[in-house]
Amino acid sequence: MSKDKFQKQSDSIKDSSTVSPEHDRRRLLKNTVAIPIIMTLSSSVAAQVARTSNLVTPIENLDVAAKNTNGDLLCVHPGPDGSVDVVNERPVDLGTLPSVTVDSADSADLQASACQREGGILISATAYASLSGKGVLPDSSIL
Amino acid sequence: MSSKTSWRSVNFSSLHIEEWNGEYTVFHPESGKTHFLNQMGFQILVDLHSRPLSAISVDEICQNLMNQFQLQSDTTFSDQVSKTLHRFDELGLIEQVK
Amino acid sequence: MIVEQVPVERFVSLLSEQGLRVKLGPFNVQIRTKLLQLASQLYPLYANYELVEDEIAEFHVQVLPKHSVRRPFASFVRFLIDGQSPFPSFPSDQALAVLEWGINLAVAVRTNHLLLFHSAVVERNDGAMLLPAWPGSGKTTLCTALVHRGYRLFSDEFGLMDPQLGDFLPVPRLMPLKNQSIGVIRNYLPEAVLGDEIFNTQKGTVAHVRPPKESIQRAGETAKAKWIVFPKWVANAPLKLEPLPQSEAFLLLASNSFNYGMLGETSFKAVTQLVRTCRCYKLVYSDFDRVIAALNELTDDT
Repeated sequence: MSKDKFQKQSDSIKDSSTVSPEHDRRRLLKNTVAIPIIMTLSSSVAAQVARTSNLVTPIENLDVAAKNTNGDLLCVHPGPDGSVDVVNERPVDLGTLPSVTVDSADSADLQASACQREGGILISATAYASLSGKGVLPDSSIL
Repeated sequence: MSSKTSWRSVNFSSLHIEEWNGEYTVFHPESGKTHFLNQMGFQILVDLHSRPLSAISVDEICQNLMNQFQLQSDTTFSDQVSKTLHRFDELGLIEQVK
Repeated sequence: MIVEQVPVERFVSLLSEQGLRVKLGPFNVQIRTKLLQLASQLYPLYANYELVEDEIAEFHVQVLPKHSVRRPFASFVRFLIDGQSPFPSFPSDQALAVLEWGINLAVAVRTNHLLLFHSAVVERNDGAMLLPAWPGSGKTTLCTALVHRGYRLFSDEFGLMDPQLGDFLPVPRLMPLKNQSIGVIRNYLPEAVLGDEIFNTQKGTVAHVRPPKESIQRAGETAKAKWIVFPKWVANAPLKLEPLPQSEAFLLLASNSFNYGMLGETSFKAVTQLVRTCRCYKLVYSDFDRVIAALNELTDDT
């Protein structure tokens, strides 16, 4: 059971960071009657498909852009329910079904141009790692 | 956090409340959120709702809770109740009256 | 007409031309691919699915070969849903896993008239049993064992609930066993029909189990849930089936729904009603015979 499944939103308990496993939540809810408790349900499964969870900022600096193990740029395309008006340096919603393409051009500049032509964006390696960690984008090592 | 601050209920009657053996799930239509409350957390909402026309101070809320739950007075408890009230406020369940 | 009644040549031509349209529970899916290897894997695994002729398909999916100029000797495939590619290319020997994964993703993301729980669901004695769990808790493996021992498969992945009626809808799909579970099920259920082992996927080695024929034939029969059991496989652990407080069942169910937040008040009422009308348990198991006996006893006691 992941502690992320439930977002504890009361700060009325000391050491709230340690309150995560299921039995601890039970202890909090059930046995601790001496303090008021409120928790707000948050569905992490739903969060994976929530549009706002997939916001990224496009970048132009090719040095820090996400690449695969061959050094090719990873071009990220918003899904059908994502943002379509790609504006540089402003957050873009990748939607629930973003995809990634890798262009076969020899230089990074050409790959970046191809990405832009096809409506894709470049994002930082850090942002990419964060989204692939959530399962939104594939691991860059397999591309 | 001033103990002089008073609070009142906001649209308590719009909440969907389910009781589960001393615990409560509360659906708040305005935010679309579901909250879990223990008995004491829920009692705060009930106490505030029971006095719709007048705001209640933190001290009075604490006193009510100490009576109902047979607790001894202590400053930590008052702080915890106060924090919970602010959390309720953030969630749109109650509001502050100055 | 079901897939196995179609000659294999016709099956391949349907897949490669106008698309194979099959009924997967409440969804009609049109599948297109020219990949012969994928067609040969699908034919036995999809043998019992009903073909759809005049109805609209909710999902149009396609698996295409993709050639890389830079890696001309590597073979890749792309998955498309309604013309969009949600994934990157995958090695072509993973085409079946990608197809199944892609259809699941489409169901998870696009179904908003039903409340979707991340849960296996089986039926026995006219009652549905939910087995909600997080990935890795062994729900697919347990579900596979149960549906070969008298339970009807609704799904190993989705609890599809009509929030107004409170009914669960079957969507019996291939069950992807992973890693050690493949050997475990081969040993325990030699009669189970498994597809090829697919290596090096994102989830390790995967092999798909064909749903029992009866589960597919009866996919139109809904059921109300009577039991909610949160399973956990723990090596060598003694069997433990203990009641779970309803409040906790509510919390766990709502937080593992795909679209609880999206459906708002409807979800709240539906989950409340579901939990109030079900007996809720947590289960720890390691041995199939024991867990099946315990769940039989539970579902006999109606």
